[in-house]
Amino acid sequence: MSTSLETQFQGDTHFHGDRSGLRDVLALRDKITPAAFEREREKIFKKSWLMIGHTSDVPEDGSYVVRELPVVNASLIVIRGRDGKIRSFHNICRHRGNKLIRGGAGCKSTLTCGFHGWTFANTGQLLGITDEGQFHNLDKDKLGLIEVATETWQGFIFVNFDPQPKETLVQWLGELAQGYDGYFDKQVRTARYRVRVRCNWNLAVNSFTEGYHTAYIHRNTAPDYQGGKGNPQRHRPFMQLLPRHARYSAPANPDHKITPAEAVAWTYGPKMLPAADFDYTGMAPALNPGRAQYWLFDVIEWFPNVLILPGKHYRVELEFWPLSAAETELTVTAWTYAPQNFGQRISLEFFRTRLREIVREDMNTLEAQQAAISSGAMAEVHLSQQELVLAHHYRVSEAMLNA
Amino acid sequence: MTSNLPDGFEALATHVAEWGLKTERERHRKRVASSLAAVRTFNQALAPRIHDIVAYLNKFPGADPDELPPPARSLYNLALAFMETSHPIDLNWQRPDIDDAFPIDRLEYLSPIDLR
Repeated sequence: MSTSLETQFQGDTHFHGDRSGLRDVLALRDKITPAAFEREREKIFKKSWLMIGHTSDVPEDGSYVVRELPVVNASLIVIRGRDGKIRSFHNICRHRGNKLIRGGAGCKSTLTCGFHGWTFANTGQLLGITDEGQFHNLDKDKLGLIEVATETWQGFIFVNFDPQPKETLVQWLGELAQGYDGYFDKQVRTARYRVRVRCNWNLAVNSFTEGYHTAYIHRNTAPDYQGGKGNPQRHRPFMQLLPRHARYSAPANPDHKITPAEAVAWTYGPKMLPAADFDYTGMAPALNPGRAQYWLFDVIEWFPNVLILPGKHYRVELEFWPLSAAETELTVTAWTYAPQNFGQRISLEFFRTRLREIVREDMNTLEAQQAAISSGAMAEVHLSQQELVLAHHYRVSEAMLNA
Repeated sequence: MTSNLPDGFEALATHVAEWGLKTERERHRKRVASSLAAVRTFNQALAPRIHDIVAYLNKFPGADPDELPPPARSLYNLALAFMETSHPIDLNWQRPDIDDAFPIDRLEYLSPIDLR
């Protein structure tokens, strides 16, 4: 029987935000059906601000990347115009619908369709029609590329497929838009991995938004990085539920045993996963929002499909792009401060390869969960108080589906 | 015989052909495809020299491996392979890979990234 998570909780996690209506028993099978996915595509993915890249991907006027987004049936050109503004356009020629750019990334002052030679500015306007005299009554001003709402924040690029988004990006991010100044935009990509998993995107996101699993699934790669003597069950010190998003902190183990190669790494670079740097001087105020004494990193869910794990000297970004109701493309990117010498670079190699092995453990649960939940053998799942962010994810989802 | 590594690091030259790999993908796959004994042999050969290796490489400006002369680049590749091989050794795994992890042949290592 379902209990109220609002009143039952006893423990050491400091909760913030609205816990009303959260359920600790979920019939997950209903959430991963093809019919549920079709509703999510229309009501969630076409109505949300979706993080699709970084301003550093399009550094110069004319720089572009092509993003294929099957969840919204779109191919997008994300391009910085000659005016410096980043826009996104459907990758469709306004003449007969041919794909303007086949894929990849590059830099173009104009975009010319390979089919009949129509040319567009990198700001979207239709510039030229070949053999224009053969057309009657064309209004070139109305035949620019079809734009998708695009906004940037702290070096991230977000798009919204709603023709008239109900909120600006900053309104959508809410409280999470505050306190990160100077943090994200100074880091560079240190590693990037992609996998396709036979797993519904919700289940995949859920697997990374609780800390209960860390003592078990990561026993081989990070046996002692969280909790420690003062917090053996690794309860999250801080958990915050926001109107759409969520955020919590992971507790570091102050007695983490530093292994030999790790000791080498921390000689030449800052302490990163699985260790922690407890000097929080100068850190962006939004990090470690509960001001935990032993803080490892935060986990932020940007609803619906992106997680950001910011630590003091690194962050990890996880993007979950649905390919169908039962398949997800998961991209994991590590960001750090750029190494200034080879010692720092070698130190980073320890961090990124250990991180990769930790994430491979998380990934390995996904297809098993999908198979089990979709089998129907188990009617429901029961959530711990430490898994509250999962309950919140489905509360937000249901509110959007019923809107 | 001339070493393919900088002066002073000749004793590590026997490892260059196998472990002096340029990319993370190659180093990861090499580790997983090797025996635990071979991983340990390489890791323990590098361990007593790793601080000397860093001191040598830090004499070069910046952190771009493509700017290094070939012998220094080989040494750098070995240092990265030292970090790659540290996980099974330092964590006392029974194999060069863990049992309960996503298969590496399904893992894509994406480029371009800002760091090599």
